[in-house]
Amino acid sequence: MELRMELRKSFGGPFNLETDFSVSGEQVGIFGVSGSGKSTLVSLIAGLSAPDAGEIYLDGDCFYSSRKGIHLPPQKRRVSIVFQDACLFPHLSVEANLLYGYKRCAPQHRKIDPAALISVLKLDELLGRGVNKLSGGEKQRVALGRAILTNPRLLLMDEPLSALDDSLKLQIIHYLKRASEKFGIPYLFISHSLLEIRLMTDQVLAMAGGRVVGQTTPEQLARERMGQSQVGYINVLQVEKLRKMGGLYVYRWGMEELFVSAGDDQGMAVFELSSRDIILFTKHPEAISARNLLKCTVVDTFPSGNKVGVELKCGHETLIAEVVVQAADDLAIQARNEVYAVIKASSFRRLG
Amino acid sequence: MSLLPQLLSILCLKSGADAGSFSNIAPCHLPLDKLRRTKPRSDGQFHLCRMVEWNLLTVNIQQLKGVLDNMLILTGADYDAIRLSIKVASAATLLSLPFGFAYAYVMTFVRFRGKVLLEVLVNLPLTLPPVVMGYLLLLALGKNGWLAPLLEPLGVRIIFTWKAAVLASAVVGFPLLVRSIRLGMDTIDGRLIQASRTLGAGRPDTLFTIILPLSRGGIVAGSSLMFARSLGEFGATIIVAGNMPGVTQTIPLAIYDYTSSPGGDRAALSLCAVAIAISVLVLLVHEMLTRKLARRD
Repeated sequence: MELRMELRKSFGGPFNLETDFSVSGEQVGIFGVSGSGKSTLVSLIAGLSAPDAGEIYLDGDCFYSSRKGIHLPPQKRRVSIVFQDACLFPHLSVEANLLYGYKRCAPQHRKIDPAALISVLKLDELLGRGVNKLSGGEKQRVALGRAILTNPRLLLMDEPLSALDDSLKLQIIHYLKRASEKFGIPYLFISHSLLEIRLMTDQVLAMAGGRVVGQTTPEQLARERMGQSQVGYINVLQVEKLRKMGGLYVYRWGMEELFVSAGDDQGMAVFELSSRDIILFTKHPEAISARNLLKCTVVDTFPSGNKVGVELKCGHETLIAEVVVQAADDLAIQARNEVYAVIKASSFRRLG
Repeated sequence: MSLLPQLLSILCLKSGADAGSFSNIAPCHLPLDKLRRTKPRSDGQFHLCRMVEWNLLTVNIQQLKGVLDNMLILTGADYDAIRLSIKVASAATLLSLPFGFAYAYVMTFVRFRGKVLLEVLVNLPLTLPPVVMGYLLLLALGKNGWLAPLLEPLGVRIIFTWKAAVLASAVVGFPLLVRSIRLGMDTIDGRLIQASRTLGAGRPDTLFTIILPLSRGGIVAGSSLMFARSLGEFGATIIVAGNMPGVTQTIPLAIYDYTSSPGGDRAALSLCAVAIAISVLVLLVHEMLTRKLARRD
């Protein structure tokens, strides 16, 4: 997928959207806080609104050009949207919702077998139901299936996880990625959550004040923003449960064992850990209350705002910690140093 | 004897069940559709509801008609007025529905200049005296009216026919119809329409597959209101259609005739009872449809 947008749209107030970028890739993210113009961009790409002037091209095909007088209507663009709260048609069953776009698809574009998609998204049991009887996660799966069945040239996902509980997000991310990869659908994932962007995409456009202010990898963006972010850098740890011990759960993380208070009896789990919850020691600390002490090697340090990010290697796993500039200087933290990372058992937050 | 006790006596006691037989009646709380499949109990008792239903089925129609004839004095012209009222109200509602839907759609989903002006124009019949509306229609459709050059070559005559009553009812009831449909349309999430468009539906397709079905509640409510309003339409109708028994005389016009002639009170009251019965029926149908739609959603 190659998307090029060079346009301008004003809203009669102080906010104007002005973009000039070109991006190519299969899993692209758009990151920005609320009001940065992300959703406007989505509606312009889908053809639901028109810019004041400019051009929009997808894979070399002109969707909009004020110069050439072209404005392709939404139904001719083959660009589907998965909205924040699913937006299923309430008067239709799950099956009718799924097939709504499929039935309107030109025969030469009907390349996705509904039965295969239903199986991938595990929708079999929901088919006959009314959409109002579905849970939030089920609704979003149906919305995703409905969009993918049209075999779109580009799938726009506009904050599709925002309305879901944290515990459901990872599950839906799994479905989103699996379905789009299996059926070869490129997507543009829009979110204000850097963590979601990191889990869903391999490159990202950062938006602020109606403009694209950067184009980078999600990992790089997360590191750059660590210093300003209220939650720091979020480490995502995939772990496997080993046992329960003295009220804590013990998980295997790579070659290490982690003590976690927010565990449960499921075998596999994913936890998030903020870079701010990791304390670094250059010498082995004694008699500490925190339950996790990991011996790590410093791979790299990077500045981020008024903080210094420290990339650590624990066995084969990577961990990002942050310290203030003064602490980094005092401890003389630099690449190849050996340090001890101390983490409280209660610092891990269950992600899925 | 008043009407209600007479009716009750026919319903409950006709088929040989005298007052004494109530002693072996068991109370019953079953819904009517289940009762239809219920056999009489072997101990000789009958369900009360089943017995009432039995009586309903075997009721002496002639006797009921006799009671109605005694209590409701309805002449042939009155029956004509009832038939005409229902015909006019139905035609006005059906005629207005497509226009009302289209107007509501335009006002809800299309942005254009002069919207406020159009709004005022369409809602004018709500605030204007119906007589004024009737007079304006007369000026437009009369023999030397504004539209006469268009209608005369086609041989169309509307004034002082039942069609004029339909037109009068349609114009006066239109704002009520539109308001209800718009209320229904306003509740449609705009993103559903956007989703439909991005899923490959053009504007007309979205209109018929998303907007129309999701406006059902408003359409039902608007149609009921308009039908009921049309049944009661008087001022505009009398001006533009006249008051000719059997031709353009609807229930309100007939009541007006009776009340203005000596000794017509009983006949007027009878027609009032009919008007109330029809209105109650319309409201009941409206309630049932609304509940059914709500259940389905």
